[in-house]
Amino acid sequence: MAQYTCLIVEDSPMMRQLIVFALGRIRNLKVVEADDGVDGLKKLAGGKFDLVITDINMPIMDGLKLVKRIRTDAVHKDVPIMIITTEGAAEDRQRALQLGANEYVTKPIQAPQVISKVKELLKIQ
Amino acid sequence: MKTKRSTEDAVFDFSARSEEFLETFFRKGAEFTEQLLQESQRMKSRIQQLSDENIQLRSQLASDDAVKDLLVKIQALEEDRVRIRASADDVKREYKTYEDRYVEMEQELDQMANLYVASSQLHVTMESSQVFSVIEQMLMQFVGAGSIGIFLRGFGTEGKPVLRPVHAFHCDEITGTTIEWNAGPVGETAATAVQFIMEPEKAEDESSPIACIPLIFGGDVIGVIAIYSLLEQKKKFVNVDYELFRLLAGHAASAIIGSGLYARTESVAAALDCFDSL
Repeated sequence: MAQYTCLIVEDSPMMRQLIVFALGRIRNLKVVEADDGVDGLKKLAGGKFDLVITDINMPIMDGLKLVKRIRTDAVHKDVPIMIITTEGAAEDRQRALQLGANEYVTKPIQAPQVISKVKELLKIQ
Repeated sequence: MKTKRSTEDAVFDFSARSEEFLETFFRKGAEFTEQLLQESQRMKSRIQQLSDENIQLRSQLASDDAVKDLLVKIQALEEDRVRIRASADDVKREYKTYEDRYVEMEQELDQMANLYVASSQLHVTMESSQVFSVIEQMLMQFVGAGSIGIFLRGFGTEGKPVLRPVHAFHCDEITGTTIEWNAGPVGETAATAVQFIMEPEKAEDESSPIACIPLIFGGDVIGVIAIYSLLEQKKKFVNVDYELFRLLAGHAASAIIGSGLYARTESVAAALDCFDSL
């Protein structure tokens, strides 16, 4: 059975904890956590990831800059990216998708919705 | 001479007639025999025909029996079909019940996860500004609150209790204000210790809270958390929000009181000193 690794980039520890808890229901999914965009890039450089979940509003480097960086990264340019954010405006969603995000989920999150989208992106039945 | 002649004629005549008779007799006999043979042949054909008809009728009878058997079988199968359909409907209903229960359990699990994370995060720090920040994050990330104010009990002129804001998120206008005990939704929530929650779309203006949660410690109201607006995508409060409000009423209050007491100590070691006498 395939093993997947997901990077969660989120500055709020409680949100990270909640996402990790939700993703714990997907078998064979290993989760790596990062506090912000820069930490996320460092973690990406140190491994191979199948999915990136990122917030937008974060200190040091925000989620949109991270998406741009990932899309130009030689190793991870094709990795699916899911945004989980409080920004619910249509233009924010549009911008994130234009930059290369694959999914855009707004907070507060519903665990089943996140699980279903993650499975879709990882092509897990 | 004449007599002899007539006798000879008579004999000849008799003989001729006799021959004629015999000839007719045998001819008729032959004809009759021929007729008998023909009749016999006709009867044989008729017997064959009847025999064929008999076989045909017997086969038709057997076919009718087979149809009857098939009809009985069809009836039995129809009854089976009805019974199986009823069983399938039962199974469908049962499946739907399990499915609903599964969804319910998923929701309960999410709710518990939210509450677990929220309660654990509330107690990870003893620094008051961080406690307020955790409450703010909790309401924003878990409930979808857009603007929040945290008020704590203080005392106004004449020693009457009032509420003063200690933390504001996207509602700076509350900074420096004082709310009288029992005045408006925030004051009434403090005075009654009963949470106030209204349907967000019925909010009159952004300065009026849509939800007020009393902070209760040791049976006393020590403050109120007020939510003034929700995030754009959040249209109304849901069950898990009410659970979180209930959790906040007790846990946030004790976290705030704890952080206040901790602020008076010099260090963790100093805080632990009080247990020496135990």
